[in-house]
Amino acid sequence: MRHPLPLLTREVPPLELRLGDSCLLLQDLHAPFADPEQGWLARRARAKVLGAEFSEYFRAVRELAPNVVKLLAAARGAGLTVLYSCFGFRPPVSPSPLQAALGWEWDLSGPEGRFPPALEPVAGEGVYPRPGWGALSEPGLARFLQERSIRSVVLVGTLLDFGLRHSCWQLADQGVGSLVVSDAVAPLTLAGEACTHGNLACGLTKFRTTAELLDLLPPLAVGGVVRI
Amino acid sequence: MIQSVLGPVRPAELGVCLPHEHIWCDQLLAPRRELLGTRTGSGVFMQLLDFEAMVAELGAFREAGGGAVVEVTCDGWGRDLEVLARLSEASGVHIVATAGFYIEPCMPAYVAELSAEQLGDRLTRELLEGVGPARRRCGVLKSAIHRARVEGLERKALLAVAAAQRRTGVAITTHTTGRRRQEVKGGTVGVEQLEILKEEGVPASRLIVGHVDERPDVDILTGLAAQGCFIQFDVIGKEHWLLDQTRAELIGELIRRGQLEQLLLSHDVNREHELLRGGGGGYCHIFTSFLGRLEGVGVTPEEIRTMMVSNPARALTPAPV
Repeated sequence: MRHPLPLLTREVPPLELRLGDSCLLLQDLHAPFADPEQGWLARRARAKVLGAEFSEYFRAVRELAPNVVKLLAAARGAGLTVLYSCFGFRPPVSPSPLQAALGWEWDLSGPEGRFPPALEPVAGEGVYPRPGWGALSEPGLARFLQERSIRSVVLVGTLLDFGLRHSCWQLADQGVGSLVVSDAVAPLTLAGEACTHGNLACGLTKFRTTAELLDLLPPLAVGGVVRI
Repeated sequence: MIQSVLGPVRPAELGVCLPHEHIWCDQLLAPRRELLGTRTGSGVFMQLLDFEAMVAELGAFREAGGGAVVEVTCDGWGRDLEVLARLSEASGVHIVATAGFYIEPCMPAYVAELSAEQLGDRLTRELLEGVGPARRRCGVLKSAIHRARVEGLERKALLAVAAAQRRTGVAITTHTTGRRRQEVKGGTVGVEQLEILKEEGVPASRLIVGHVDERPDVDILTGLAAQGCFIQFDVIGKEHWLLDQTRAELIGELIRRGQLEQLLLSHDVNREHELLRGGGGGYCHIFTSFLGRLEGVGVTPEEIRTMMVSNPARALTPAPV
């Protein structure tokens, strides 16, 4: 898919990862998005006989899971901050206007708030329910990044062409660098993936594969800086 | 003399030459394929493995007026000089094979194990003594960078290529960043490759900067050409990156800026769907579609001949050492 805007934008700037000011953000890997059998999207698509329309998405979800598991292990092993951002609400907060408009009113205190076992957060890892597409639509997460002076965020999860794209834009607005792990994210469609790569190539976001990142992460554990 | 897989060819006999194509390759053989990503949906790997089909594709190229193809697949992902020799014999097209290394995911394991000097020795043997039992010789070197800068194994491979170039005088063709082009100042890591090669004693006139039409900056390309590099528009027809009309206009502008003698044209065919039998333009797209666009922006037939005949012959003829 042709995307000419990056021909007239600056190159994506170098990005540095270090323990103090970098984090791994898992976005929308809770059940509605990440359970290809019983999650809300899967159930709904099946009920409406629309499963084939989402086949590219659920194939990508199945393929990303083992990569996210490896990245989680590497990040936790290195001592990198791990955060979760999940589209949905938790009472007493009500569904957001966007959630109501979409009809995706997921109460994360119930089954929709569960994660696949291998992707569950461990003690001390923040889970932020959020009202909008981008991770920083949740003020608590935005505040956390600011208070910790986070400069670089590695993103994995779903949906690349909606929520993750918005998160990258929001991070750029805050002057925070972003790196998307290209085989640890699921786009809704492959066409959407191509378009999103073009969008985010406009001076904003780097893309690396899981294997590339795993090669790069070890120095973090000994206090080193990874320049990408 | 230009070294083809069937032996030396006089520059004047090379004919119309595509300087950056694949005819026989299999990226599924890449030793560290996982570095390219594990997703399968969009990951159509480069693969051309049907002998009879490739004879037909090369035959169509020859029928359209083609004479030679530089096959830029490197050791590590399916380079096979015996197959190339049989394809050349069957099609009547000169084929020049490549010594050097593609991007890190596709590098043979020995690249990590050997020193740059040892790798340079190996490449020199491939150029001067040949490869395999039939001792078929390569005719061009290749350096490939897929990171945003020249570092790690890709830097080591570039130094090895530079050493082999100094001993043999052959040209170095390049892969410049690919998917990382959005992270590289000026859009091509060829600028950094050139600086390193110059430090290593390789003249700019021996460097073919490839893939310039993925993220072109006409001023950067003019600067590289003015230093003596060949500027290779080699993904012609791949309009998901850039419209062919834009390529034609860039080439017209570079000619107006006095850089005609530095320009090369090719397609970088590497997948089934790009072949004629797959519905693509195969090795004929430039003939059937692109030359008309060039003429439309004022490029003359003589200038086209310079880019497709004279310039490749000059690039592929080794410099005295």
